[in-house]
Amino acid sequence: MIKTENLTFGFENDTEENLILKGIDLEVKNGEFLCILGHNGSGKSTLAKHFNAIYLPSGGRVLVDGIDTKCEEKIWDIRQNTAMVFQNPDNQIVATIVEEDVAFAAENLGVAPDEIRKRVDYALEAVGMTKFKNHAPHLLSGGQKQRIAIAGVIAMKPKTIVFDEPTAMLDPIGRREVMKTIKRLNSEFNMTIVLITHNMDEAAMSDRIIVINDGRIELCGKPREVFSDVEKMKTLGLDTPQVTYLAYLLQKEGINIKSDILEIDECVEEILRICQ
Amino acid sequence: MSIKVENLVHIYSKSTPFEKVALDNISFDISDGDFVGIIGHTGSGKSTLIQHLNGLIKPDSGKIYIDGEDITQKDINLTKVRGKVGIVFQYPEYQLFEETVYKDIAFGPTNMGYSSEEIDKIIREVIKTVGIDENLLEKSPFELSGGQKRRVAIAGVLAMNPKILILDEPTAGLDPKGRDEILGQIKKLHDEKNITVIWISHSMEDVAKIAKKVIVMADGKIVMYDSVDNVFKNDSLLEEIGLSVPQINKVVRRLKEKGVNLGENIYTVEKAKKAILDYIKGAKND
Repeated sequence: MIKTENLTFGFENDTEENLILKGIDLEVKNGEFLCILGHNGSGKSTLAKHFNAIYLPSGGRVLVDGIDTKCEEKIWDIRQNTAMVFQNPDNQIVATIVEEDVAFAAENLGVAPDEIRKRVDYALEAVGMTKFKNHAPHLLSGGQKQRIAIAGVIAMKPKTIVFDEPTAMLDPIGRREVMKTIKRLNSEFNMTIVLITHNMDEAAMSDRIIVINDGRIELCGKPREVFSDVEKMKTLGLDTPQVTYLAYLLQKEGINIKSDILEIDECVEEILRICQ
Repeated sequence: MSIKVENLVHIYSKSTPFEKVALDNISFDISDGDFVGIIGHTGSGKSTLIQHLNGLIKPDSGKIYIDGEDITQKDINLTKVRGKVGIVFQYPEYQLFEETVYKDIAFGPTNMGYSSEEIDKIIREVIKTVGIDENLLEKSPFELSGGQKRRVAIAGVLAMNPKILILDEPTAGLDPKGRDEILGQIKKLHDEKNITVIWISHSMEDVAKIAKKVIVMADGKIVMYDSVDNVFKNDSLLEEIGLSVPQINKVVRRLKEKGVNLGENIYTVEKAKKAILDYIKGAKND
C-alpha cells in the first residue's frame, strides 16, 4: 500500500506558489488499479516518482507499506516493492541480449539462477517477446523494446508497478498487448498498478482515476464518474473517450441520452433507442 | 516540392542471421503542396522510409526524386537536399543541446550560412509559428516543459525553411491540449506556406483530422495509398494489419448492422453527431 500525507514538492528555489506538488493526500490500496491523468506539467510524473523514493517530499510524507520513503536504509526494500516503467524504452535497456536485459534487475537482487531462468521466461511470455529472447535489443522496434523493459520489471516480482506513459510510443497492437499484460498483472497476480497515461481508453480500464492539475488532486472517482464531467475535463486540458464525448454533444443538442457512456456497445444501444 | 519514390528496397543487417527487409520494393508519388499521413504498426517500415527522403540512409536499390532530382545518385549535394527536406524525429526534444532556446533554433540556419540578422528574423518568425513565447528565448531548453521542448525542436527544423516537412509521430507523449495545438500549427503552416507535409502517426484520429491522403504500410510494403475517406472505408483491412480504428467508426458500423444507416465517411465525433441528428430528423419526417 502506498500512502501520501499532505505531500508537497518543489525544487530548491521554488516559492510556495511554484511548488510542483501542493499537498497531495492519496492512498493506493493493495491490488488496486489506479490511473493518474493530468496535462503535461501538472505534476503527475513528479508524484509517481515519490512512490519509490526517486524524489523525496519537501513537505509531508510518503509511506510504502508503512515505510517512510525518507528512511535511507530501507530504500532498496522500497524500490523492490514498487518498480517503475518509464516512457522511453531506450533509456531502460542495459544488456546486449534480450533475455540478459530482462534478468538484469533480478540478478542485482541476488535471485538464484534457476529462479531467474523461470522469472525471465515467464516475464518474456507475459509481454509476448519469447521468440526474441536471443535478439539484440537495439535492433528491435520501439514497441518491442518497451515490452522488454516491462519484462525486466516483472522479473523483479514487485508488489506495485508504476507505469509512466508506457504505451506512448507503441502501435495499437503493442498498446493492446501491454494493456492486456497490465490488466492481467492486476487481476490474476493481484499486483497493484499505478498507470500514468494520456490515452483515455486506457484510463477507462482502471478501477479509479485521479486527475492532477497544478499540483493538486482535482478530480477523483470511478472512470465513469470522472469522464461524464466532459466540460470539467476539457477545462483541465484532457480528453474523454469518443463515445462519452458523442453522448455529451448529443445531450447539448437536447437529445435525451445517458451521459456516463464508456463502452461502444452501450453507445450503440443508446443511439438505437433514440433513433427509434 | 514533389517526391517520387521508385522500387525502393532497404535491408537491415544484410547477410547476417538477423537480416530484415525493412522496405520491400516501394513506389509512390507525393505532389507539391500535398498533406500525406503515413500509418502502420511498429516495425512496418515508416521511419526507415522517411530517413531515405533526405539521404540519411541509403537504399539497397531503387530511386528517390526530390523536386525531380535523384538524391540516390553518387555526387549529390546532400546538404542542399537536407535544407529542402526537414525531418522532425520521434521525441525531438531529446535532440536539444544548446545553452539557450535561441541558440538551439539558430543552429540549423547558422550552419546553412545565414547572417546573424537573417537568423534573428527567422527565429522570431518560427517561434510564432510553433507558439513559443519570446521571453523563453534566453532560457535553457532543459527548463521547459515537454510540450514546449517539442515546439522548440520543431522550430529548429522550420528555421531551415524546408519545402518538405516530415514529422515522425510529432504528438506522441503530448497531452490532448498539446496535441491539438501542434496539429493546428502544422495545418496552418501547410495552408499558409503551401509546404508539402508528411505526417507519421499511429493515431487514425489525428490523421483523419489533418491529412488529405493516407499511405498505409505493413511489413515494408504500401498496402493502401488513397484519400482519407477511402482509407477509412476499408477499416476492416486496417484492423487486420493491426491498426486501431477510432471508436466512432465501430459505433457507426454496428449501428448499420442493426439497421440504422447513418451514411458514409463518418470518422469524427462531430460528423457522427450531425449524422445522428439528421437521422432523427429524417425519421420524424417520414
